[in-house]
Amino acid sequence: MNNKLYKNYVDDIAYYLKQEKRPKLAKAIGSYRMMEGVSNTSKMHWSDKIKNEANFRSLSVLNSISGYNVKYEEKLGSHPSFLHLKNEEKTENHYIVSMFIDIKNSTGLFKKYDPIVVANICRTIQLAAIHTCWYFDAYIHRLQGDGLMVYFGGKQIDKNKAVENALMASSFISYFVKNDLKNLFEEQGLNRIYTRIGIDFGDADVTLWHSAGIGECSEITTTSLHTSLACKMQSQAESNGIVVGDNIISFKPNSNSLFSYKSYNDNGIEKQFIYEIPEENFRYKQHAFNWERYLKNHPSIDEDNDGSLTFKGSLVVSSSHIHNNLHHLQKNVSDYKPSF
Amino acid sequence: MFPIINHLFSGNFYLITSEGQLIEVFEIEMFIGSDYPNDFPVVKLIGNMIELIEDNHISKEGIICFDHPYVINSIKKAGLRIYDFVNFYLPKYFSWVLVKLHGDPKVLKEWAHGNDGTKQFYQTLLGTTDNKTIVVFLKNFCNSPRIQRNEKCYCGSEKKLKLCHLMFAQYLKATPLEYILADIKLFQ
Repeated sequence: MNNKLYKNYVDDIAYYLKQEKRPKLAKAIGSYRMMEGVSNTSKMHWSDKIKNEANFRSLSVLNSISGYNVKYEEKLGSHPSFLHLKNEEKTENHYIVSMFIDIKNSTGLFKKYDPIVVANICRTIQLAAIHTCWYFDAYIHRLQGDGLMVYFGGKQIDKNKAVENALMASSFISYFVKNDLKNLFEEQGLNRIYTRIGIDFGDADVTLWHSAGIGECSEITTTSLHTSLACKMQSQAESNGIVVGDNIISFKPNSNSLFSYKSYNDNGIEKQFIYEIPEENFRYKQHAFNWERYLKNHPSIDEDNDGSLTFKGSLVVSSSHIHNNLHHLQKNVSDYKPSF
Repeated sequence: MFPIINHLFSGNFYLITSEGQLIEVFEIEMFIGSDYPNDFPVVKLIGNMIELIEDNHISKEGIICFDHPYVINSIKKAGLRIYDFVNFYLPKYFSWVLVKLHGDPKVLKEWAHGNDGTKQFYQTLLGTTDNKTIVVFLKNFCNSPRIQRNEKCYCGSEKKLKLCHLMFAQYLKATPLEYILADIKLFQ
């Protein structure tokens, strides 16, 4: 049995990786239809809602880590805590944890695959990241090309829990790309795709929520040094690395082994701080986050012999989708008798 | 000659409502024998969605028992498309298990395990629980080299077969005679 946590996503990507560009001759005479069977249709499989929901549910073991019981919900757009600011002149100060995820190295895929296949591969990775974030009570603020901007926290959400959720979600996403996708790309002779993630916490006094843009062309967003720094830190991360700011570390006072100071590389010039305002005596550092150790240290997570994650916690299973459809299920079984 | 190929399909089966809403996902492997379409697919459940016990009609290895073997024989003889199998049996079986686990099991029907299930099969087929009638039918059926519509019915009713149990006799033809001969003892 394959017990990879992200098996559904890996299987989908493996399927797409088999759909190499068709030679021009084969394309011209249509013989690729015979050779490649089902793979000749230009279809964005990821837009299939049932499949998307099924993939989301395949990660439900993450409920045992987060302690939530998350249901599938497509919630792209305004953060629900700040909906009242939409197209208003009012602003509001409130803390937020900002996370930027970038999926790197996808350009190399164009050498071997048609754009539709590249789109499917990148989207599947992006969806794995989105679904993981949802399990940790995150809000996907924006999709940017191969990247994501994600908020953790909101009204009535404890700051510590928001930071914890951001660290956990980013760790699982990095784990997926580094481990579960590991061999797939190598087998195809492709450079590996990797992620870079930046996370920072901005407290209420320095984080302003407001409406930006106008009319339909608007969004509720934050203006905060720490949202900007999260984006900057993302660009500083190593392959499959996560970089966090000083503020994140202050929530983890006894976790020195998880964070290591990282100097800021400003166009080849090494700097001690990622940001400083000398006249205000404000100096801010960035740190590499050892997410692999973080996962290994978690009391509910183990590793099996293959390096795949296993979970010890009691599984929070939602059966509401079954209970809500019992009438349909009973209709299905009328006059049916299984045997043994 | 074409080589004998056994096909293996693996992936997720999505149990959905008639409106297309996802109810549950089951990871399965499906094996199709070389006699297809005169074959009945073998489906193995992957993962731990269902407890692997007889009462759930699934073997310790995860093989699902969709129907009584003699019903399956008849389907094999007639031929079965994979498409029809997937759309008929998979929703029915997985719905059955979910109702058993989460709903009212009293609404469920099932063939009893082993020989008791076979007895139920003949009783259902012939529409009687009278052992004597069933034995007479099975003995006469086994002694007739071929089904002839205008012969007297095997059940002893004195009616012509075509006016009595012709359809059931034809149905039973899919199962090898030695099994049916052995089954006669179940009613004696």
